[in-house]
Amino acid sequence: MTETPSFGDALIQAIPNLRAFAHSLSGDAQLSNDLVQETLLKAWTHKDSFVPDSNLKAWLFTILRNTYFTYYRKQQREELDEDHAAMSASVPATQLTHLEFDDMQKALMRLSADHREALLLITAEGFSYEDAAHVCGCAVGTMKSRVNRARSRLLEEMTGQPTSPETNEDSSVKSSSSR
Amino acid sequence: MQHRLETPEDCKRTDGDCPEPERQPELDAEHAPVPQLPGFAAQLIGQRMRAMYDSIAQEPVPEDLLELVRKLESKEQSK
Repeated sequence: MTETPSFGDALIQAIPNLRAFAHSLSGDAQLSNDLVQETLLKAWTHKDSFVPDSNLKAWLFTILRNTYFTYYRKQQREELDEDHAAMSASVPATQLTHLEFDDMQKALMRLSADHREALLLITAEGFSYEDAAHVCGCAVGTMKSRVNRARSRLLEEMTGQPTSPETNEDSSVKSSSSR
Repeated sequence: MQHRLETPEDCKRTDGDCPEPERQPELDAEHAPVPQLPGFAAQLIGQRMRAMYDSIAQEPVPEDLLELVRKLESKEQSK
């Protein structure tokens, strides 16, 4: 019982959650495995910079989301997200109660990446607002605001009913998250 | 559920001669009023999301990911 698990054991233990986050965030199963692979490699390479006894999962999630956003921005520059736009347009609004995983994923993909990430970290992964803010490199207030907006938009998406006039997110949030 | 309906007492005061302020969304962008969902809707969204998320987390881990970590470990041990 006293034996501490190795860093490798800890990584392996984290893989299921990393995969779930990567898949839900990117909406792409194949890409998510690549993202997790890269995350594991980076974590291993930089394991000396991990502060022992701090939150390993939060650290790994930070690496993963940074890896994803680097990819995402590159991708956006290249193709202006045509695929996602096309995919999104073809999804009809669904009754909330009849929502299948697939529809949930598609509705998620129509959120901005910032909102999607916030909702996943808080609602699905169960991070505290503090930890989630740390992972995303934003303020706790920003995180709370993103989660609330993401919930509203998701509901709108899924019921086809607007809950609020379109409020664009402040630009400061955008820039602080793009690291 | 975290429904924060806190209206600071200050905002309710109407003793000044200024016209009653219509809930000012001027705090700053972070605290701008965000539409609060009815509790059950937020709950449903949460449940659905977790169900989706958990179903992915419960998938068997691809062998190549496990292999990768094992390789990294054994490479280090053989140094």
